[in-house]
Amino acid sequence: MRTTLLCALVLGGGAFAVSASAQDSQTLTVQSQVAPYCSEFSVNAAPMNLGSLAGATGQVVADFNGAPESSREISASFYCNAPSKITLEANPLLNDEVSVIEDSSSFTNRVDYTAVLRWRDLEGSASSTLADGQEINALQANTGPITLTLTDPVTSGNLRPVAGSYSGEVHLTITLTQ
Amino acid sequence: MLDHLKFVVAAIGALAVPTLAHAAEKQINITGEVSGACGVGSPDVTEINLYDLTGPNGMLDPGKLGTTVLGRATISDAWCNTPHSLVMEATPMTLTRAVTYAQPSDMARKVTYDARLTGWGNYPFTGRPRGGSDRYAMGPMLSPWAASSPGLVLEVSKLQTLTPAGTEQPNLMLEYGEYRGTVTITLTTEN
Repeated sequence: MRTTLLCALVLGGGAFAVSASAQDSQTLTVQSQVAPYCSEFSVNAAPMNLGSLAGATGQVVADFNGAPESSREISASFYCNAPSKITLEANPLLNDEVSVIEDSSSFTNRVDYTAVLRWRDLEGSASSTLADGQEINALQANTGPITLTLTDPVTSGNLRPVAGSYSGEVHLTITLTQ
Repeated sequence: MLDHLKFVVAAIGALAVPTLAHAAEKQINITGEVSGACGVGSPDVTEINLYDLTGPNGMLDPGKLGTTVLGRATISDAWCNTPHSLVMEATPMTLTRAVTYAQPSDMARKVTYDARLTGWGNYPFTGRPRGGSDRYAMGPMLSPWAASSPGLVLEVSKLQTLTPAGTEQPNLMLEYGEYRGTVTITLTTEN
């Protein structure tokens, strides 16, 4: 009886020693994700004032160099962390106060221009003579200021614009492409 | 403990996922202004020369009495981009030489004429100066207008001698000398 009990204790001690000295490892996978994303920005509601659209001859000015505001930084720091696309659409400057022009071979109520958008080193332009917007593709993530510049005023046939107030818009649509 | 660690990692992942992935549409308004203005270019000639006015008997040349155009000037570029009016001011051709004696009743020192303007509006516009400076107004015209090619054309015709009071009277003898009159065309915005 005494002999039997001793053997049992030795076996139990041996089993405990084996478990404490064995090596083991566990691998944990750390997983996360970053969704495609573009930062937000708000547009100043005040219109860009191009000033006088006609020169001394009554024809449209050659450029907007003398305009109070022909260029505007729309966003000081805009970013997309993935490829993106900006669609730029320019709508002509129209004088809606004059709906009918009697001498339409000499005058117009429409002034066209080109909108140039620069986003850091990306640049694209759209003319208001085009019905469709122009796409500016950012093939990779990009960050930097967005600046809109209006250039190249023109009227069809170099017609003189009738007197009055003109208004137009530039539309930007920014979409992620993935 | 392992379960607890997994929970922490999952939470960090959730924080990294942005919630504002989006497409954005923005509109930038632009404005401009065209002031009301008119422009009158330079005429192709600054002087319309009618040459010798006298006929064989010292009176006004009969060939200058009718509607035959005796002289013409063209302003190729004249325009108003807003409602406007046109004013033509004309003076008779008057003897420029100083004359110390009274004008004889059978003689003339002034000659009137038709100053016919075409190219503005849909109809010709005619003045016939008999006084010191006669004013003829067209308008206001409510629409912008530009003279189409060849432009604003002034034609002179139908000469006639005038009495000192400015009454047309034929068969007066013209005193010798140079005769000059002026026609001034002015476009003015209405606003």
